Amino acid sequence: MDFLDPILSGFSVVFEPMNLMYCLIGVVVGMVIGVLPGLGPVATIAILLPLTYSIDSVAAIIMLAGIFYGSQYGGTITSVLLRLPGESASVVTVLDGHAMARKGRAGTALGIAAIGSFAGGTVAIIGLTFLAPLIATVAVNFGPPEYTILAILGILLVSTVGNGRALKCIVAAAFGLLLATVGRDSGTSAQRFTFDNLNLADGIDFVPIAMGLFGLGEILYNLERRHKGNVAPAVIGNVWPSRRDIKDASGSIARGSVLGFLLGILPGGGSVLASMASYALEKKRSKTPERFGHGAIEGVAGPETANNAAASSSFIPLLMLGIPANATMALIFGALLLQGITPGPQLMDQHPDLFWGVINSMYIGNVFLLILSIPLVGVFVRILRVRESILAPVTVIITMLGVFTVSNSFFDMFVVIVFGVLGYLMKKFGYDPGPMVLAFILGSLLESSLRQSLRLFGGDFTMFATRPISGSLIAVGVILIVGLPLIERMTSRRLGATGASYENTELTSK
Amino acid sequence: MTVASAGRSSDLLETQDEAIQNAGVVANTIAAGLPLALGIAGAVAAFGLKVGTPADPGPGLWPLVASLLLVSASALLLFTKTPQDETEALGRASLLVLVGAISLVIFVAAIPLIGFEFPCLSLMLLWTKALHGETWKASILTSLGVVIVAYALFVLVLRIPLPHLF
Repeated sequence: MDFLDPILSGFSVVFEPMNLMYCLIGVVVGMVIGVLPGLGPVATIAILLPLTYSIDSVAAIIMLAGIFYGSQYGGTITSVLLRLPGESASVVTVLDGHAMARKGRAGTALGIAAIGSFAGGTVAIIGLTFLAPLIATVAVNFGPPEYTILAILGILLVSTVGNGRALKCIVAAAFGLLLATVGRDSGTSAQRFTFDNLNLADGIDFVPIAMGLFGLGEILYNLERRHKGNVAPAVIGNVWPSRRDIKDASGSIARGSVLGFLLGILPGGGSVLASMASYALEKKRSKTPERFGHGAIEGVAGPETANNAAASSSFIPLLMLGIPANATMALIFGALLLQGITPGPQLMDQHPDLFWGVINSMYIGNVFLLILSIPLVGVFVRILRVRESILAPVTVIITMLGVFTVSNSFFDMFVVIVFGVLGYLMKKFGYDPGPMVLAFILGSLLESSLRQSLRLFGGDFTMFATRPISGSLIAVGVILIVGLPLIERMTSRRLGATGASYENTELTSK
Repeated sequence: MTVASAGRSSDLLETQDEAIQNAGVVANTIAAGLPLALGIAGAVAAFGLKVGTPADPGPGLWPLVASLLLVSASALLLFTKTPQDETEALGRASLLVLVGAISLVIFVAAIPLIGFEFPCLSLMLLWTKALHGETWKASILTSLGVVIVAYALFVLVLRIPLPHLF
């Protein structure tokens, strides 16, 4: 049983007061931003990146992780109460969650979502705990060719199954790769694209890019759409789901956990796909599908469980293989790099306290979520009344002054502005900034692995396929690139129908 | 509702805002043309650096690969039709964004000259009052509050070398 040893020692890391505190902070911050429309977990993590410089690396990642899965739950609150998804993964919850709220069952919806989220997160973490050593034994044989393929796969998968059109994602990713080449070439020390600017000699810093693209970009984008006032939230009648409700929902929670876990591991999968697939699955296997869209509890329990499970399991590709599965993971990847830690198969051996500390913090974080969710709902509803007109300027100042704290550089502040405008333009014209950041972060690693591989192969590209591990990775990758968009199309078609019926009922029930 | 549009959760908020229209053909062409131009520029510049061969890569090889990818993807974009609701037009509301961006540039440029307090105050006032339409009372209170907190945090507690007047 000594494979349990590192797991247990991970708990001792988590229970250190500092780490517990940052876990709590992360989860609460996550819930708050999940509730507030306009700032997502990606933007928040980007804006808080400067903070990770000054605190311990384990605590920093624990906090960022907490923000991520905390925000999944925060988005649920607005979906149920206001029919406004605070997060893209909560869009599906609007369908049945708000219908339940209108029937006076808002508390039940929120309660079952909390329970489901907890269950989903826990299942994912248990899966992760046992899966990790398995992956580690395989990954130990990875060399430059394998990393090259993995990096390419990561970028391709996020592009094909992400937001926005695949082709536009690839354009964004290609631009990100190009941006990564700015600075000194590691192989030959030649200066690339620096235009004789000293600030660019070491390349563009990742943190200002992330803060600009996701933080400022989001704020500028929202500046254009002034949300008119706040919708009155539904009243919360009952507080906790009844035993009957829990029994009804238990099947969907179980299915959602497994589905979310599997979909979260796949790069490009993630919480959005997981929540939609779960909803489609629940509707399909229900004997009374016409209840969906009108307050079916499975329609809340399943997706909420799945999206939390996916959020937790999406850490696997990052921590185990060093491949970020989505934009949030890309940022956490960047944060780890800033701490001098390179995620990958060697992470488990070289930094076991970080690895198991982060994973076990997710157990604790999910407990916090469950305990805090019900009492804090009232607080969140009040927070929603804070106007964006106050919040946005404050966030701008935090972003601008925050980036200065990183390297005391005014150049960084200009970088934030430039990428903020770029992020705004990208969103306007349908380009997802996620693949660009991912490609930027992976760019230099990809290039060095590629060059090492080519040197190994003597310039022969076909050897990528003939080498056993990289060849099988290519095969798996092709299956995923073809298969995932198919799953996505199938689930959205089913959801499209559901959405339509929801709208119809809206009108006829008046 | 596809996964693509679900990613922009603000789509569900669309009904509450002033309608933002979809971009026209010209805008979409520029949206695809700009990356194309950048890619071509990158490829040209990559040749300026030594490209080398696959067996012996030079500093220009990878930028060339990335540029070619950018060029081909953008070219494909240029020649395929853009779905109707994928892009948004720049409208009058976009002027707000321009003003916001310019204000930030001035903000950053001013800090080394006169310290961060007044630029911060002005920026806050501009954004809350002019860009977001808050009341005078709320704007002034919030702006003053932010400057005071920022001063306390960055100058007193964290002691960051941020240029300050007081």
